Amino acid sequence: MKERIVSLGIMVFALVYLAGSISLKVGTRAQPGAGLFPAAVAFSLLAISALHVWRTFRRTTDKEEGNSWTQIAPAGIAAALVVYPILLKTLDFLFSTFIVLFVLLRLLRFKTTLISFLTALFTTILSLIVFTGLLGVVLPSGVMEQFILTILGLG
Amino acid sequence: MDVLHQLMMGFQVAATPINLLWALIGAFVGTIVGVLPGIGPLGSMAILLSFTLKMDATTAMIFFAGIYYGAMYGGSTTSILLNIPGEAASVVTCIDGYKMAQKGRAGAALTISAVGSFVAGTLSIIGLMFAASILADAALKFGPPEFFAIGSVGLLFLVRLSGGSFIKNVIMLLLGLALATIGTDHLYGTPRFTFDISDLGQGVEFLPVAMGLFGIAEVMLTAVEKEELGEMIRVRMRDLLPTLVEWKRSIAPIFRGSFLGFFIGLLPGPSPVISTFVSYMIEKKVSKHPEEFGEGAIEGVAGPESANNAAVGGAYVPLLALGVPFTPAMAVVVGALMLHGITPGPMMMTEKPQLFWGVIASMYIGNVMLLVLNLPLVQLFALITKVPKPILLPLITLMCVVGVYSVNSSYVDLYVLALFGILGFILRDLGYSPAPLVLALVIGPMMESAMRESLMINQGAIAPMIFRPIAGTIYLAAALALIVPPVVRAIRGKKKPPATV
Repeated sequence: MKERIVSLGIMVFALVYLAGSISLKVGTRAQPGAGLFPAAVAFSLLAISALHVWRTFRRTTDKEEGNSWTQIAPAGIAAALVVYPILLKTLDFLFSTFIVLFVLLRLLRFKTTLISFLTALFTTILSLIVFTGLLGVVLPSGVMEQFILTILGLG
Repeated sequence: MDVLHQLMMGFQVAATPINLLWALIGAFVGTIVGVLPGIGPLGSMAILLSFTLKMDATTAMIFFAGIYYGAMYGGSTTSILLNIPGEAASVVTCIDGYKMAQKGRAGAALTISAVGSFVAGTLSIIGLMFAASILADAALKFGPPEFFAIGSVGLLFLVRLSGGSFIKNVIMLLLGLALATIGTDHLYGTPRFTFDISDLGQGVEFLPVAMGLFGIAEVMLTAVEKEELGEMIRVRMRDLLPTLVEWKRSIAPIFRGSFLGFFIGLLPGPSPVISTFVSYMIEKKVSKHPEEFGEGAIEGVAGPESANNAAVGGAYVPLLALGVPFTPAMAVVVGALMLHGITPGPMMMTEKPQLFWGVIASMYIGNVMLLVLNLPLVQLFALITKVPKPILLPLITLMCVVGVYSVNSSYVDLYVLALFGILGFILRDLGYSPAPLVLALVIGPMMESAMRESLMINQGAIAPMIFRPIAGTIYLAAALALIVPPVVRAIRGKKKPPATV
C-alpha cells in the first residue's frame, strides 16, 4: 500500500512539474529557453514514474514493506522539526531549543522526566555557549541568551 | 620534480598549527562517526558543513578529509569487536574480523586493519596526486559538450552502481535534477518554480536537502530500529601485535586492496562499499586457504579494509580534477567549497595551488595521525557505541537544525530540512536511495548549462555534441562498460550446460 501511495505521489509531482515546465519558455533547440531542461526532466520523470506505478499496482502481495510511519518516535521527530522554526521565531533560541529537546527526550523515553528536563536544559545552554559563544554562529537571541553569554564573558 | 615541489609547498600549508589541529579533530570526529552505527561520514560531514564557515577554505577541506578517512578507519573497530559495522564500507569486515575476535585474535585484526588502511590511504594519495594533475591538464581542453558527457555518464553509472532498484534510482536522479532547476534561470533571469518565495531565487540549498535526507532521515530510521548490542570483546595492548604468519598473509591483500580500491574509487557511486565486496571476492578466489574465509581469515580483513580507504583517495580525483563529485560525500565537499566561494574544477590546481596541495599533504599527515590515534584508543572508541540512542538522536537533530540555520539564518532552510527529513524517512524506508538525488542536485546546474551552451554553439544539432573526440570517447567507454558485462554474462550462461539434478 505504501509503495503504491508513494509511486502515485511521484507521478502526480511529475505531472505538476511538467505543467510548470511547459508554462516556462521552452524555446528551440538552437535557442533553448528556461523551460527546455525542466521539460526534458519532467517528461522522463513522468514516463518512468508511470512505469513504476504500473509495476507497483500489478504486484499482488499484501505484505507491507518498511517500518510503520505512524510510530510515535519518527512522527514526534517530524512534528518537532516542523514546529521548531515557528518556536525559534517567537521564543528565540534558548526556550525553543529547550522545549524541542525535552519533548524529543521524552518521546524516546530517556530515563525519567526530571533527568530529561535537566539534560535538555544543560544541553541547550551548552549548545548556546558552543555555537554562539565559541563558533560565532548567529542564532535568534533575546534577553536570556545575552544574559548567559555576558555572565560567561562571551557576550 | 614539479609535483614534488608542489607537494612540499602543500606540506608547508598542512603543517601550520591550525591545520594540524583541524586535521586531528577531523580524524578524531571521523573515527567516532565511523564507530557509531547509522551516522556515516556523509551525514557527519553534512552536519558539520556550516561550522566550517568561519574556517579558511583549506582548513575546511583538511577537516573534511580527516573525517572521511577517519570514518573508514573507525568503521572497522565495531565490525571486529562487536560484529556491528559502523558504516556500510565495514560490513564485509564483520565476516572474518568478528570471527578472528572470537578466536582471541581481535588485536591482530585491528592492527592489520589499521596498517592496511594506512598503506592504502598513502598509496591512493600518491595515485590521486598524479591522476588528478594529469586529468586536470586534460580537462582544460574540455568544452560544454565534454562536461555534459561527464555529468550524464557519471549519473548513469551512479544509478547502475548504487544498488537496489534501478527504477527507484532513476526516479531519485530525476527528482534531483528537477530540484536543481528551481531558482532563477542563469541565462535569461527567468524565475522557475520559486512561487514568489525570495529565498528560493538562488535555488534549493544543498545543505538542508543533504542534512534532511541523510541526517534527519537517519535519526528517524534509527528511532524505529530495535537493535541490541552484543557483548564487546576486550583487547589488551599486548594482544595488538599480529604473528609473523598473519603479517605475511596480509601483505599481498593490502596491496591488491589498495590498487583495486583506488580504481573503483574513480567510479561514480558508493565506491568504498563496492570496493570492499570486490576485494573480499578476489581475496577468496586467490587465497590458498579459501575454506578459512568466513571462519576468521586475516586476508578477509586486510583486503577490504585497505580497499575502502584507497577508494576515498580515488573519489577525490574527479572532484579535484574536473569539479564533478561522483559520490554523495564528495558532493558535501563541493558544498563546503562553494560556501567559501570556490568552484572546484580543472583550474583549481593552478588558481588555488595552496588549497589543492595543502589538502593532499594533509591526507598524508592525517593517515599517520589515524594510525597513532586508532590503535591505542581502540577500546575507548568501541565504548562510544554504548551511548544510549535516546540521548544521541536528539543531539544529532539539534546539530542538524543549528547547522542548517547558521548558514543563511533562513527559516525557509529549516522548513526545507524538515520536508526532506520526512521525505527521506519515507523514501529510504521503501528502498529509495538518496544518493542519486543529492548528486543530481549538485551536478544538475552544471549539466543544464553545458547542455544549453552546447546546443547554442552547434545551432541545435545534437550529433556534434556526441561525436566530438573527447565526448565521443566518454560515451563509447561508458556504453562498453555498461553493455559488455551483461552480454558476456548472457553468452556464458548460454554456453554453460544445464545442471544435472
